[in-house]
Amino acid sequence: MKGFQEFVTARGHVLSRTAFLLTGDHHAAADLLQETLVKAAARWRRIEAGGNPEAYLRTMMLNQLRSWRRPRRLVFWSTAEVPERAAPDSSGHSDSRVALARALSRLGPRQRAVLYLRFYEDLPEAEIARQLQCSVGTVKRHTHDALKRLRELAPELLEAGHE
Amino acid sequence: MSKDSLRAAYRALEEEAGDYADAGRALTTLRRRRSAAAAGTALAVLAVLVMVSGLWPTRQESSVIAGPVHAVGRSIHTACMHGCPTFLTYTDGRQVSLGEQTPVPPGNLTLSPDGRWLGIPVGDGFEVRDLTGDTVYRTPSAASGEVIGPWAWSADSRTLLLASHASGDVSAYYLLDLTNGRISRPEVPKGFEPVGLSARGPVLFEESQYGKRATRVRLVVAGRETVLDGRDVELINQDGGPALEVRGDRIYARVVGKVIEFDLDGVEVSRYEFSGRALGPGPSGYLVFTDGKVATASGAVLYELPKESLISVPGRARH
Repeated sequence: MKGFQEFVTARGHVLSRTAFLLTGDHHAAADLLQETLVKAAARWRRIEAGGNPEAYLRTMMLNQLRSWRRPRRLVFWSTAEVPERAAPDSSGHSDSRVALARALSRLGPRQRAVLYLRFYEDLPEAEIARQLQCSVGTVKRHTHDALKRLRELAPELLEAGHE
Repeated sequence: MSKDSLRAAYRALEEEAGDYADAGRALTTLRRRRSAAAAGTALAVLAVLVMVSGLWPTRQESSVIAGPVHAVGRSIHTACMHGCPTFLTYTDGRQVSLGEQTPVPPGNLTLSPDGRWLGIPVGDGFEVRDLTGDTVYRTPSAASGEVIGPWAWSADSRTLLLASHASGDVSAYYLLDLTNGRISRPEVPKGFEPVGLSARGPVLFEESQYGKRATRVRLVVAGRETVLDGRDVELINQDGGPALEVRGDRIYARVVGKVIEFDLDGVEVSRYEFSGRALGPGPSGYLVFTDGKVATASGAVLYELPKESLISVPGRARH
């Protein structure tokens, strides 16, 4: 499993970022990624032979997020735990970061997945539908529902001129 | 409506991401799961029989802290999510390292409400150590593929509820009596999960409520149904059950930026709002961590820790 370990060492931080943005929570992200890595380790030869393990694991993580119910008894902090910044942040990013992390903790997994793919990765709806293995209509519906919920939870994230 | 604001928020949030990837742990977990599948249930049954036959708990030497220090614990913390050692801090200010590869607090690390007992995972079992003496109770190894973790303390620190579980599914609960080291098996009705040990008795959560968004939570407190009503606050979300803590005659429901305090009849007593992280109920009020300060929800600062610390305060366990 040397190849698996080398891959995780080299690309683990990128997958960690995806996991965090899909969950908005450090503990949930760690659990999501570790569960994905366990499954990937079990079929590593096949994944490696596919030629793009990072994309494969990312897709695994998205699928895992949608189908996975985090072991409830292992949830200590289901709410967002955004560490305090060491220095004051006058950019306004700190507020939006906290607001988004908190909002993500209140959205469903499918809603988080479409928001991440649409607004972080900037993918078109057709590509999101392909990645999530659903119809474009389903992507539109989840996006609509997610934005509606976000508007209730953190309207400042959708206000013009917030930046 | 500007979606650019949302994009910017994602860019800002990504800066907070840690590195959670651990190939070694993933491989260990994989090996454990494969072993568990191969071992079958016979071994698990045997392990449970051993546990209830009087062999558990036993007094053993701890490999973590050598000898009593005659002081009680104030907190367990680590300064960062990855790569930082975990410390036990005593009320007199002294600190002892619990190691660099421990679970992230609160994790499976626990202090009794009075700070006297320290509970930590050891191997495949769990150890509870008297910080004021030399008594150490250590469980034997959990059943294959399972771990034993702390679930809840009684407010008087005399009883610790533990659970043997794998991936969140509990196979057995155990009550450890710290006054004599005896263990008993509580009767937990099917479909319920114990979330605390109140002054009246166990607090049970009806599991069918998990994952269903709701502002109301049904509990059974010492055999009587109690409903916690968050009114405008959703106490259960789609990702999991409510975050409940029980201490004496109070039940605390924790949501983002808020903690609602109820009595055992479900009557709301107080509602706290804060910008930091909730740590759990303490003897002088609910504790929060804001800007490097551990304080009561009413604002009284108790002590300081590094700003990004992850913390377990006395009385904190799984629930």
